Amino acid sequence: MSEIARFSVVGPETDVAASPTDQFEAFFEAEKDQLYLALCLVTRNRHEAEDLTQDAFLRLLERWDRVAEMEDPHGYLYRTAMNSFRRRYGRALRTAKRSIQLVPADDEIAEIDERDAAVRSLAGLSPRQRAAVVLVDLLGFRSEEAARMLGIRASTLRMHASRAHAALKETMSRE
Amino acid sequence: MNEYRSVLERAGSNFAPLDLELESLLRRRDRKRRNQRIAAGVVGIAVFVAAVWVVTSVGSLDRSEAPAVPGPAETGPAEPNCVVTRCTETGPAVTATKPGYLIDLNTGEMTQLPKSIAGCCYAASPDGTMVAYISLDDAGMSQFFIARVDGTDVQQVTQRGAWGPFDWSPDGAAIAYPSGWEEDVINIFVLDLATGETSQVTHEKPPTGTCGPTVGVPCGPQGAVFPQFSPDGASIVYTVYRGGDQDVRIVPVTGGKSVLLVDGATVGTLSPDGSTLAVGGCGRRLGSGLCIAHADGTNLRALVSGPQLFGPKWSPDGTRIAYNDQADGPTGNKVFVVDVATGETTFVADGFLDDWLDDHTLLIEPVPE
Repeated sequence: MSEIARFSVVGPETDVAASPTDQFEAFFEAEKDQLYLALCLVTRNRHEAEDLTQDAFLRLLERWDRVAEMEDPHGYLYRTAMNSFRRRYGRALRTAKRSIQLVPADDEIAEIDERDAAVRSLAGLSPRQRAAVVLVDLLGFRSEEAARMLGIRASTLRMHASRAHAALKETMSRE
Repeated sequence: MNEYRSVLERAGSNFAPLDLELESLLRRRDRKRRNQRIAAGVVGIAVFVAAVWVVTSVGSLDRSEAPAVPGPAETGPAEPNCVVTRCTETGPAVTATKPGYLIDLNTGEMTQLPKSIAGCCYAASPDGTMVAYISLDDAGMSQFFIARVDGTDVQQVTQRGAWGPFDWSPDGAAIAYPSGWEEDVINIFVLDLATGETSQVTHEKPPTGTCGPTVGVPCGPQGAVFPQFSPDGASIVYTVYRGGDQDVRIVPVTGGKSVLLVDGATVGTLSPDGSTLAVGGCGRRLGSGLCIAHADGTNLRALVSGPQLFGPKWSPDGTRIAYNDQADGPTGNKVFVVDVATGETTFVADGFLDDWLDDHTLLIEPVPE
């Protein structure tokens, strides 16, 4: 695969002869907003989304020499971010057990809920249902790829997406 | 355009772009590297001090297999006795979690668990030789492991994700554990250690749009968690989360109809003689604190008062209950022990209580940094 194709997610204007740092910066600038937005929708907490975004990019930065050689650094970024999300969600039980708030509550989310029916419609979904529709419907990942990111089977992911669709349809029809 | 995509795009338009520069990321990386270097230095000093201590007191050393110096040893070299595929060239795959430690209530002596069993939510076997715990597999997924307390014989039990905490059956032949990442709801299963077979005990259903700010219920983990065997091994006391409610219930270990014990409490456990139930959070009627009740949940009364008391564990002899107190916040979690007969409480250590190893030894996890 050519260097251009390998970095196609960054954009055709990317200078493939640039230093690794420049390449990472271009990738970072091209991807950060979409990743953050996806994580906002999945977590419904901007603090947590920012933390997960930083974590994911930091992990990529630490192994950028290998990631840059991958066919799909974009997919690797989302796999990394979703893996962190998955682990945090797993730790939520310990949070319940111990009353720990790992990240501050996003107080403004209620205001956003109030003014926008689309955001409100996502509130009734479980985090995994939100992750399923964000990865598949918004970001266009195949079910198999999205399932791998979330550590579940493709059939399970399709089930989550299907339930999410039904819930979204019902909520939006009521609004 | 996919109709769901347009809903998601509309929802996303409410969030302002992330104000994050590459410089901040690089600073965060530098901070992380500096912390790793400091931790490595601390470990080096700890190893040196331990070596000097061993040389100068070899005649009285009686537990050479476990490091006696508590500290951030997770960044140290690989454990030579690391026995499973989780080991990598840089050490066990789990480096994010500090190992727990044992504390002897009689002497105050603390002994760190080996790095090869670093994880969380330790549950000790009835004979005190084994622990069940949660750790991460190579893919970073939480899995359920069992191992000897000395860090050997590590076995990964689950392959598709697991939750903690667990409980060993009184005869040590089975472990109850919560699981259910795939199904979007958590249920309690029992693993037969002799056959490796699992059986499902509870049958909670996934939530269906009943959570979220519009209905005032957070979309947290849902289902059955915190299993605790009854002393005869025939039933399991557990906590069920449905919507925003949580109740302590009891169910036969073979499954079937569950019975409510205390509504609104967090974690419940029966005394070794089966006569008394201890619950963290005293339920909807009494509110916060550590309470005890008859085994059927009646006659609920406060044993210790406090706003953030949870995770009660009976000592094997049934005279004391250990519990967590989080009145000083998450990073200030403290472990206490209360004498059930007198109500006298004693501070034990900073950290999270996991289990009793024997009548005078507690398994504790360090507080997160």
